[in-house]
Amino acid sequence: MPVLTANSFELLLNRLDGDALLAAEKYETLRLKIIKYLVWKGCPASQSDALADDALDRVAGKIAQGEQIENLNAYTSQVVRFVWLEHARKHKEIVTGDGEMPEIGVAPDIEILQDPDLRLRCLRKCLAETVSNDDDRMLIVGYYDADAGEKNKDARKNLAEKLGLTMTTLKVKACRIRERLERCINECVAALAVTNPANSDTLKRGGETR
Amino acid sequence: MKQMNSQTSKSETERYLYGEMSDTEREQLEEKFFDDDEFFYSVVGLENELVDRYANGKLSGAELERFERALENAPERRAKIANAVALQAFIAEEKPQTESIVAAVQTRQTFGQRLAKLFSIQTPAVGYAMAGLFILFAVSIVFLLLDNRRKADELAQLQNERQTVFEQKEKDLQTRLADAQTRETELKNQIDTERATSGDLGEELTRERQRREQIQIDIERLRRENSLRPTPTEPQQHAPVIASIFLPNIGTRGGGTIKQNFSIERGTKRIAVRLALPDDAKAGERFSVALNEKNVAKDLAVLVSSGGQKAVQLTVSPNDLLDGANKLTVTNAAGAEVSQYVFNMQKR
Repeated sequence: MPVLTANSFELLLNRLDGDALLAAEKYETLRLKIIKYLVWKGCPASQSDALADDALDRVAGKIAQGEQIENLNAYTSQVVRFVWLEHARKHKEIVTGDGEMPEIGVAPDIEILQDPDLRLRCLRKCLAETVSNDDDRMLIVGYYDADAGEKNKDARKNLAEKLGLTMTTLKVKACRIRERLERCINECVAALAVTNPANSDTLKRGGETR
Repeated sequence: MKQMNSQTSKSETERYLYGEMSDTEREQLEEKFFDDDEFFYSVVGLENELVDRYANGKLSGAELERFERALENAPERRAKIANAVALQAFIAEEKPQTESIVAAVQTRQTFGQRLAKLFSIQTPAVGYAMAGLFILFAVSIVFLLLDNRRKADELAQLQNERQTVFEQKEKDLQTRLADAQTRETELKNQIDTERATSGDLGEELTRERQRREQIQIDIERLRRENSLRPTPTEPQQHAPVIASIFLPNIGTRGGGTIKQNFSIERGTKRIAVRLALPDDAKAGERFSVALNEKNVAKDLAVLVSSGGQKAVQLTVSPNDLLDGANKLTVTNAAGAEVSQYVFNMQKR
């Protein structure tokens, strides 16, 4: 874990923006983007903050060392990817004793589907907790109603009109809600696995840890 | 990142999601995540769609192969698939009507599969016959489908009409119910108000009843009195209620001898008497008056007229006056006689 110094942190902020307030705002935005990326890649929400800080500290350290960085976002994305792979490799070493990159071979049949009730229970709980807004609930049900098939395109259009959103905004909103929901479900399943060891095997195969 | 929405970019994103990009390509694409939120969510959205289709068994052929191959290198996607299955189960619960549509589609697919199986075991002769039968069958199906659709439309129309009538009736009933509720509320409020004020009203009613009874008693009494009163046979001359007399000061203390004559009518209630005082009487003095040696007034203040004449004024009852000579004596606060007045009174 690199040590963040006041000097390196200030250099990073200066690189983001000359104005201190704007620099702080851009720093936070970048940090949130990193967290979002990490969670999407399967990083548990409980670890994503620490990994994001780690990545930013490394970027700040490189700037302090005089590294010439043309595109800060692009450079940060590479660092984040590296940090994530490094973390996943360490985690795999702990779980399996294998030091290779996190490429876990799986059979095409999805064993985790054998216990859909567990996730459904968690989904109901998470919907109540994270999607309390009626519009958001209508959105998640309407947008992801895959059974509607081709009709779903029209249904989504109607849904966008009903909610007063453009199709692009609807899509982004649906993704964000689903992301929040899935993060909650994964944490819920992990918690249930702790209380019910019978579920822990399913959980390990479920890709919560990579 | 609008170009990411084009078909080329979609296929590029699919290559990324299927893990088919080189490291350099992947890095370049992921760099864009940090520049463009919309692009990031377009990638996330596409992955969600693929996962949903896989979870619903709707991926097939090369697409299915690519997805499953990628799954080997992206195990975190298995959790997404499991979540997608849960989400679809939940949506199915939330939308039972959607479920019935899906069931109908599945039924048709099964029938199609059976038909295909039937054709797969045919001989050439049987094949022609089957083909003919199939055409006939297809025409019948089309006819039935059209007829079915027409009936479905009619049914939908009838249902709509029935729904409209039902909604109208319900609306009417709701209106009537609302009116009844409003009226009920008003009546309740009225009852409450009346209950709250009934105590006051009761008391007031009792008082009114007593007043009415008293008035009735008074009326009865008046009627009774009226019936007892003799009917006047001739116009009655009413005596003045109050008479006034003025007795001048004769100028000597200790008793004047000049007599004045007055007459009053019977029925006179009171007599106002004004007694002129001697000139040396002081304005602030107080005087007492006796009629026929009987005190009738005391502590009388001096009245001064515009001409400077001083006097005291008192009222006496005609009963105190004698029919004939009467004497009024004025004494000061010390009890000394100030003046005396003698007069004759005739009661008529």
